Amino acid sequence: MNIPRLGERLVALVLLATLLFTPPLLLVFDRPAGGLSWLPLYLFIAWGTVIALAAWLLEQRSGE
Amino acid sequence: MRTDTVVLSVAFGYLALLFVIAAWGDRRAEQGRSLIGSPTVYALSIAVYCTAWTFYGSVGRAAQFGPSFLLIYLGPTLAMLLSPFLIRKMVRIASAQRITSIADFISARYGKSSSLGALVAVIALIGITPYITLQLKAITVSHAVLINYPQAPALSLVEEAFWADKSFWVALVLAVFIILFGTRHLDASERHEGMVAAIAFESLVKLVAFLSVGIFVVFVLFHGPGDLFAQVAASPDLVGALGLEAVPGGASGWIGMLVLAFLAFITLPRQFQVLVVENVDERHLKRASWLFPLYLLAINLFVIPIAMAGMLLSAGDPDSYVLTLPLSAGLEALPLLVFIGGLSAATGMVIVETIALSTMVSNQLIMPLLLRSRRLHLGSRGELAGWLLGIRRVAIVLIAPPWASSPAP
Repeated sequence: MNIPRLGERLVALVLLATLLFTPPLLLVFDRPAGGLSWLPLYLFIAWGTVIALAAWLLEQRSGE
Repeated sequence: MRTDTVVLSVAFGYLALLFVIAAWGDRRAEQGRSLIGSPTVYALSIAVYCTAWTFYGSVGRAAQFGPSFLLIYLGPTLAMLLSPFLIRKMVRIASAQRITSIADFISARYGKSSSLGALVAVIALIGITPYITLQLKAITVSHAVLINYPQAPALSLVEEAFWADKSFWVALVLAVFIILFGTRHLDASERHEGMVAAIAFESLVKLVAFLSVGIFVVFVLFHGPGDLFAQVAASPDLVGALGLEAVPGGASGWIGMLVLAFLAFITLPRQFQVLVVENVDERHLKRASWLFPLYLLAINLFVIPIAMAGMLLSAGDPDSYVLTLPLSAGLEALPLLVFIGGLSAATGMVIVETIALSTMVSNQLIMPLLLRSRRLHLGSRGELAGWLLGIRRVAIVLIAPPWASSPAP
């Protein structure tokens, strides 16, 4: 855990994830486009992005 | 190929394999060449979070309530992202104070209050024992679907004698497993390396089984996701099924479930067991904090496609779509793999939850009473350890296995 400012970055990532996973932003994607809601697709993309960011943050300088 | 003999020998063969893996894990631990000294194994063992409820129930929930099932996994994702702080601190406190369960942890936070510890143990016992029963019931139901298809599973649970119920025998085997690998020796840290190795293996099995049925449904039954969702969009009954309107409680219900899932993940006794008690190296948390969410994403990837496909083809009970969809296509091996995947999800939960609960019952409920009574002169440490193991073994047989599987009215 000797990556500089890892703590701040992780907290920022968790805040971003919470924002992405909860209503105000969610409602934007709940519009029926072409009949179906985009909500599930949006959730999976947001989820995958958050995981990728976490992996990048935590695995850099893995020489620990 | 779907005869009872084949299904049962594969199922019990799978359970036998678990014994082999756990014995191997324990032997390697004794030799000091730990099998579980890897962050990947640690992340896989945390995936005991995904029970038979995930394996069969997510599809059913998606069919009924749209994307709300994802909250059960988004909450733990947030918790795991915080794990380099939150869970690392729990691991440090637990190892410094030799904490063995969530009840122990909570009572230690309030000055080692023994009555608080006992209260938490009682609440956990009452709250979670029915949940163990549900896992065993899922084994019975999935077995019935597999054997009786295309007839609806004739579940004569109430009339059936308990020994005719297959999950009774599964439960009995599990009780033996838990006693062998959960209470073999008494160790202050309460670690069970063989058990953790077996659980990590179970997590792999259930993931492979679920991905296989997902790929089959999307790419064999339909011509890829585009084709599947075009058909969903064309079906007037299903158009609203993916939106927030299908979620109970709408936007506020959404937030409530997310918070609940977050808290459940860090306080469930079995999660505390694998996350904190069985943690061998706190550096493993770093890898697990993104690998475990990735596991959750992967095991949920095909839930909505399977639910939609099941509804389009009206494949019976949504909770059994993962079995009935490949069965309806005339497949033999894939349904068997799915059944084993469900079995691994259920047995993993039963094993870890029973170990966690029996530790709580012996350390927080029975031992304090025994130590207080003066008629028993529990002076020497050896005597005490013997009592502790004995109590724990009795607790294991009482908590999970045989009696819990007896048919609910």
